[in-house]
Amino acid sequence: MPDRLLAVRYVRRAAGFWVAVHLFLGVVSGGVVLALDPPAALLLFAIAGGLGVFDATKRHELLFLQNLGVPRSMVAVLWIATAATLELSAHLVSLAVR
Amino acid sequence: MTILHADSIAKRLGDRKILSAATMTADRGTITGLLGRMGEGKSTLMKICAGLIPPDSGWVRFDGIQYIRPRLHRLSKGGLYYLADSGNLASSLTLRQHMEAVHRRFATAASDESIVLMHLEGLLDSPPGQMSSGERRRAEIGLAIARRPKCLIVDEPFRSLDPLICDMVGSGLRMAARNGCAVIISGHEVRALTPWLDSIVWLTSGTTHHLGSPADAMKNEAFSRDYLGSNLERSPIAVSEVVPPFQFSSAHGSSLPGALLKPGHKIG
Repeated sequence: MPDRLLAVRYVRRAAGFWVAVHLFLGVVSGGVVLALDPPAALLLFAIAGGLGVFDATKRHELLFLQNLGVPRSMVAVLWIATAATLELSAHLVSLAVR
Repeated sequence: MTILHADSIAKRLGDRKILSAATMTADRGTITGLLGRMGEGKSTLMKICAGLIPPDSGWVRFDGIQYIRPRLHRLSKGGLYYLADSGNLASSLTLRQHMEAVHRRFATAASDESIVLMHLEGLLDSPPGQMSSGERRRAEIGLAIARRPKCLIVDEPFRSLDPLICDMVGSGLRMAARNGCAVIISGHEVRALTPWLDSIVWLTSGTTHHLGSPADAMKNEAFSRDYLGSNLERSPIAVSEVVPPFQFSSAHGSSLPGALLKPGHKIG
């Protein structure tokens, strides 16, 4: 796992991305998009993982992480895990609302 | 004692063969200089040794474990630290946060010592974006020293630095070596580099030549002719007189690096 300082930031950034995507889809569709269909959710996770690595690269965090003994794939894992957790929670909430 | 040994390294980038049969060794307590003309593959060889890019053939042995496909995050757990020529500090963290992360991760971390040595007291709460290139290089070296690595690979540590900062960075690398670290550095600033080197490896035409001490290297005709060039032939480096011009005082308390230096003292 990355250092807790960076891990918290990755979770925050991934959560921000997830919220932004759902807000954007809500605006585009003209309604509230709480949870995505499974294929769309899988696409969202893949984009989240790639974006996480891209973002960390732009912030020069990957080399520092690797010098700490953390593989770069861990950044993608954290982003995907965060997006998946939020998506699952959203699904549960949408089921409860119905 | 050899901590890192890379052997028979070959690497092709696109159609261009960069390395054909390069070897690299790093002994604990020494600083090895990897010299060579631009484009000869110094950075590529260092990245292969550090596990950032895979070799096409060959292997890397670090701390007794042989890797066909070394990876930095694995090697770093064993005590390797790699500094690229730029982008070593996360732009989202201050230097203090970097130091704390290293300290949390590695029980052997010695942050205070490296902060004093590299005069980083005034930079601790600055993110790398607010530092000059010299300050950033000092911070990177200080962070690496704080890790107390077994092997430190630094790509072009003296590039674009003024002589005073070169001495600071060199002192930091020498201190790491004194603590038992095997240091590998590269660069083209021969006059600034050689005082700190224990041995020189010359990379040319895809392969390496281990030339021995800087004094021995300067006597090598091919190295002098094909790398140092006529500029240095006219004004050869007096290796016997090549000593670091400054030693850092143990006294500190000023934020001005120059005030902490005692000129004319030899290190070692």
